[in-house]
Amino acid sequence: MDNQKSKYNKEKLDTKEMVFSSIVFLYIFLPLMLLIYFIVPKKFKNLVMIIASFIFFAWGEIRYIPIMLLLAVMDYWCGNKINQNWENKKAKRKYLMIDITVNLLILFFFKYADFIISSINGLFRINIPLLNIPLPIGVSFNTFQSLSYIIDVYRGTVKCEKSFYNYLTYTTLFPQIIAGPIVRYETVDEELVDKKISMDNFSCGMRRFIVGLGKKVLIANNVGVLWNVIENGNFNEISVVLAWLGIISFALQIYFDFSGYSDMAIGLAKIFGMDFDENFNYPYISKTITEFWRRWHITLSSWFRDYIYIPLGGNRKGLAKQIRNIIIVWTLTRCLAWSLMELRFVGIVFWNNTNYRKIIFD
Amino acid sequence: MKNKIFFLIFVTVWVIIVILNFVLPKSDFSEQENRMYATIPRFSFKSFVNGEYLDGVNDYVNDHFAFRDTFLKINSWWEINVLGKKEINDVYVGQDSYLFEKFEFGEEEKTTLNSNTKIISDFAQKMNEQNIKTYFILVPNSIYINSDKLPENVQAPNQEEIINIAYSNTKNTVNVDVEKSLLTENKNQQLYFKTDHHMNSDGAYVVYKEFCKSANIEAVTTTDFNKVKVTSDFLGTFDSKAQIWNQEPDEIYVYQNENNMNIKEAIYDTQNTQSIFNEEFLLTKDKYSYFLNGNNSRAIIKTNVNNDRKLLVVKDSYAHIMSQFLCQNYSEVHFLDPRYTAFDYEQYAKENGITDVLFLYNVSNFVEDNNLRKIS
Repeated sequence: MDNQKSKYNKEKLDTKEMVFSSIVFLYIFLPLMLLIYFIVPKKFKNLVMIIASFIFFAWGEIRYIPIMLLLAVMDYWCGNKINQNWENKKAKRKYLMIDITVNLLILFFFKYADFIISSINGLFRINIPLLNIPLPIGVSFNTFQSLSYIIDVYRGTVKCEKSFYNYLTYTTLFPQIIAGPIVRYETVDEELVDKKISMDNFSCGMRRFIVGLGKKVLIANNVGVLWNVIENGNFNEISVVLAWLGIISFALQIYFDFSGYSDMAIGLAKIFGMDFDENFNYPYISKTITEFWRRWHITLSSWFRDYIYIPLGGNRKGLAKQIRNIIIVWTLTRCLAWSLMELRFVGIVFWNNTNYRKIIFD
Repeated sequence: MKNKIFFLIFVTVWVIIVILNFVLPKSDFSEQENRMYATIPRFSFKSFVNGEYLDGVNDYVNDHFAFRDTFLKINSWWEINVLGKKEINDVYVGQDSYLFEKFEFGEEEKTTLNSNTKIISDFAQKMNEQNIKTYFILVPNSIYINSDKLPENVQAPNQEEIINIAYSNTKNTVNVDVEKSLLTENKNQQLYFKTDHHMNSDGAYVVYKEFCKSANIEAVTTTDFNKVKVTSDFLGTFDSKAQIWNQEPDEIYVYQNENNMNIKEAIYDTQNTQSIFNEEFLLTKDKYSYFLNGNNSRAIIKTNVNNDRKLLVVKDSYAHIMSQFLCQNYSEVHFLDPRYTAFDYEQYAKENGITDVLFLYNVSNFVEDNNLRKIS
């Protein structure tokens, strides 16, 4: 019975994990959405995207949608408040802090509430029931996007968005929600108003999407099978060759999985008439770790560089401070972005809180 | 220019498939895969919120995708010839067109095995009290008998050991060892279907002969039968699962003689006929159901053999192909399938004047099936 149950769960996870490569997405959701998207007049295109995003999110966790809406309202409001109080440094800062705090609280609530409860239970030998909240799809990416928007508005590097309609489109954008790239407001602000829809963009985007799909389905999934076999074997008895094979297959799987999803996201965006930043640049040719982080999930590392490392002083304030800054960034990467790094577990992360905790804390 | 060509080709193909998906007629049952297709889930707020509705939609669309069968065949071609896979959907692609279903014997299977042997022992004891003899046959599967045909480096559990465990656990019964003669005879002729999980008529005959030896009855010799090919176009359950693009089909033979061609009556769940064979099934995908009219909870065969011996067979589908032989030596054979029934078999044996009981199972089903408990 248990065995049957676990088999069933496994199948469920598989279908969940494959959102972009599922038949429903490729042959019902996407064609219908594109048809409507291309037909409607320009000012309704964002509406189509918002509705499509909501359907896409509902596929995963419908309960997150109201939270996402409220966060969007808050970001929008804070952004405008910062703009209104441009001369008043104190007020500006207040709104920035409100927005950052609430966003982070929500993220930490989803990620760590159950961990904290179980720690308290363990520490004081009491029994507060766990909440068992599934981690909603894209919660980390939403946080990154919201934070980059509000910080950029605060710094004055972007203008605050005057239209809530456009801001909501930005914050609910779905192509990148599974594995990035992280889209900054400054990258797409013009395209939120004026999309570059053309046959050339459609063709380029679709080709890019197909390449990504191939990376994921044809390469990552198949080398993943090899890795799974080795991973589930006995590590004490493993031969050197097999161990290397395991390392190589894992490295290939995680790269093709991750960059495949990024390709699909970039391709989809292109079809919709938007340009996302590149996310991978042949990371495995890197000669140093530093170079690797410049080539691997570029939008994530540059996010941390621009919003945390450099504001803390970067490498300009002496070696001690630089090391401190690096440690801070690394700790935050672990806390904030773990689910992004462990893309392999993306399905499990989204759908099974128990497993999710296991991945992080074991 | 390049973009234009790509755009035209891609969009045309895509649009055609999308439209065909919507307009092509949908059937409820898959002949190819021998199973019911998923149905459109009923919408409710609750099922929508917990994701069941969308999962259901996903299953429905997957099952009803245009040219699904063709795509599955393309997939099997790709996996075997391009990726060099030897396993598709839990089916091993072996040598000489042999297919095998993955078989594992873990803790859970051990538990099931032990509980099933206990049930048989208890039942046999009750039968002994009424002077009814109980026989037990555990038939090994193709994956063990034909293990030399498995893909390289694939290992299957040793079913001889499993049968030994089962037989040593089962008390009060006559345990019939069929495994050794199947292994020996398999060298001379094919005893199992290549595309299906059952043994064929030749395999069934080997089992029948061993049973007769243990039961002290005289087996009808092969020369007294007329061996007839009823179809050469049988693609069984293994092929349904794997959908091999160029699978060579199996042939189905029957050993016919007066005893099994001319019977008094056959009582099935929904119909009474005068045959243990049902030719209608030969025209469908599910050709194995030719034997004993497919899966019935109960099948009673009344023969023209006048010896007043009545055999009760508690069985899985491996017994269906055995029916052509079992009705040689008994005036009545009652086949009961615990998977589809739940009542007191002891009472049944009493009421129907049963003189012998036979538990007939195949190994992989015996260690997985928890339905035997329903017999008491």
